[in-house]
Amino acid sequence: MQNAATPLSDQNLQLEIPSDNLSVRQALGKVLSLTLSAEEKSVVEIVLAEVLNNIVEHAYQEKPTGRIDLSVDQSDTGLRVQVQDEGLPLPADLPNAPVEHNLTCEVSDLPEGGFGWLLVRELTEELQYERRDGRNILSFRIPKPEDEQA
Amino acid sequence: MQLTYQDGPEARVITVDNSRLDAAIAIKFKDQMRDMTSDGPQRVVVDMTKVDFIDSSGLGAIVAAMKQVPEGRSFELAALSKTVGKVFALTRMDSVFTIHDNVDAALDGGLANAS
Repeated sequence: MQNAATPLSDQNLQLEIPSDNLSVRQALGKVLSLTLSAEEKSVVEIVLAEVLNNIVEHAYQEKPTGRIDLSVDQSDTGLRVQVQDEGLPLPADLPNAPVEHNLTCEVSDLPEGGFGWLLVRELTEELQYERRDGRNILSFRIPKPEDEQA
Repeated sequence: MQLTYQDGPEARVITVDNSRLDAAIAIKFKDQMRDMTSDGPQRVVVDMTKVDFIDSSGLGAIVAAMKQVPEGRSFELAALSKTVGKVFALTRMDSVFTIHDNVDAALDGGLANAS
């Protein structure tokens, strides 16, 4: 059993996370302890919470025995993130399909779900999903806020 | 999940006492909101000052809470944090809800609009 948290350096992180909500929340805390601006932290928290919750809820169907591998690398252009799991595959094209809610409807018809992928797509770049050898591999970049780019 | 409310002359102000509005409390939020918005003043302002973080489930719960408000009553939000505001903007839910900078502004607006 490898160590659950192996810090490569101050600004990189590799975590092996059990697929339960408490572990996911703890992992999120570790990522947020990286040196990030307040703006980056808020984006990272939104994106990773959605991605990891989706894995717990949908890929592993709330079974706490699954494993999630998360790697976060800081670069000049932002955070490169890769998330892997061995759960059920994502519905075809979900990460890439545009979700456009029609909000000019009656209040009673407003959508109550489907916001998760919308947020992930809006806040990330180079979002890629691959199903390989029974694993889901999702990778993306969280760009540095424009006013902080060197 | 902790919601409390106070009735004033113009509105019922419901305060959310959780720092995170997420899947863990979404259903309770919706249920408590149903109780608190079914009677009392016609205008409801939800004070979100203490909420630092919201995820898609929490956003869904707020939309659900608004949808279950009886007709003729309002359901307005006040004091969204930067992160919460970002989630509303990215999902364009900021165009669906009446959002006030803070509770005072919401209540002043209520007086001005009452004429």
